[in-house]
Amino acid sequence: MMNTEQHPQDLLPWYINGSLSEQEQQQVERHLQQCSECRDEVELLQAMQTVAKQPPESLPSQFAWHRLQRDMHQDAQTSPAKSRRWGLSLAAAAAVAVIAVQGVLLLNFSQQDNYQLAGHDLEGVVVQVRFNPDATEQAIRTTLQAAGAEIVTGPGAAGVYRIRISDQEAEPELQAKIDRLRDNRDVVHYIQRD
Amino acid sequence: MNQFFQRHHRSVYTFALRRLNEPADAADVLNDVMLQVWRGADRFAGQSKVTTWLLGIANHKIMDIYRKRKRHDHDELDHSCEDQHAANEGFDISLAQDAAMVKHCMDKLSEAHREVVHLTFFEDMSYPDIAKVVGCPPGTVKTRMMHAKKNLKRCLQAQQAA
Repeated sequence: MMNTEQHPQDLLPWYINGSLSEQEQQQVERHLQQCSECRDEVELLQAMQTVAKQPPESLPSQFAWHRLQRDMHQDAQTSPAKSRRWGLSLAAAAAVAVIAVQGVLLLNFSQQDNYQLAGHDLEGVVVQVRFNPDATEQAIRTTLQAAGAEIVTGPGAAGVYRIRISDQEAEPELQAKIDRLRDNRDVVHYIQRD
Repeated sequence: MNQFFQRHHRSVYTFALRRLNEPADAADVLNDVMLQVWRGADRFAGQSKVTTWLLGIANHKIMDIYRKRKRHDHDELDHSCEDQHAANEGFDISLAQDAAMVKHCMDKLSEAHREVVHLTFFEDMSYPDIAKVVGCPPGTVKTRMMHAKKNLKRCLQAQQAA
């Protein structure tokens, strides 16, 4: 049996996840063939891996993307030249990887301009909405557009948005819009006037 | 940006959640990381994988939250990148077969140890990549994992004795 210093125990976790170099991998494999102590270590590490691989207790909600959109929108309004400067910096970047990643970011953000987030000077009725956690961003967007609504603030800590619905129509039509939103249970979990 | 967000948001969120144990804080970290990326404050230099780069940014945000919580005292030694040697003690491997107990003991690991365990076994990162994320030498990453393993064994033995 080899002494403790010769056990490659410091490499075993990465032997398990398959990220060692070929040389290290072979070194560990050779050792494992003759060391029951390290094979026990591998068993323990595999038990740890099984637990660590379990899905997380919660996933980021659909609101995460809306929140980021809102913040990017506010950021761009605060400093309108930011996106342009960013674009110019891309042109100057020499590394292909930089262009690849940030080019994707810039292109995609520029395509979001049909999605209004921050409030404008539009007159209207403000209602509080909590969207269904399973609703997709596209379903929420379609629902809001159909109702002629836009997000004013949110999400708050409880996932509540304030949305503004244009009040160009009479009260009965306006209430009917709110009722239709309430009935759209796939998208709207809760809605009430502010 | 949506494409980029959809591709990477789970990694960032899960990394933050497993370390902070608080969904609201993990959501804040996710938002801050993606916003920082969009602002171009941290540029991807192509010297590592995108995930390594993103989790490196997330690591700074998480440490900020820890500092605010003032809960980092007992982890101070680990976060200082100080190197230590872990003892290799006798251990009954049959204890590792109880998944619930293993999970219980993994949850009790220090924040710095859970970080390395998560990056190794959830993200399947190499130890050099983990070193980039946590900002320590690769040797420290290995040492932290050795300590995590040692503490896990101690906890399993204590659970059995109880």
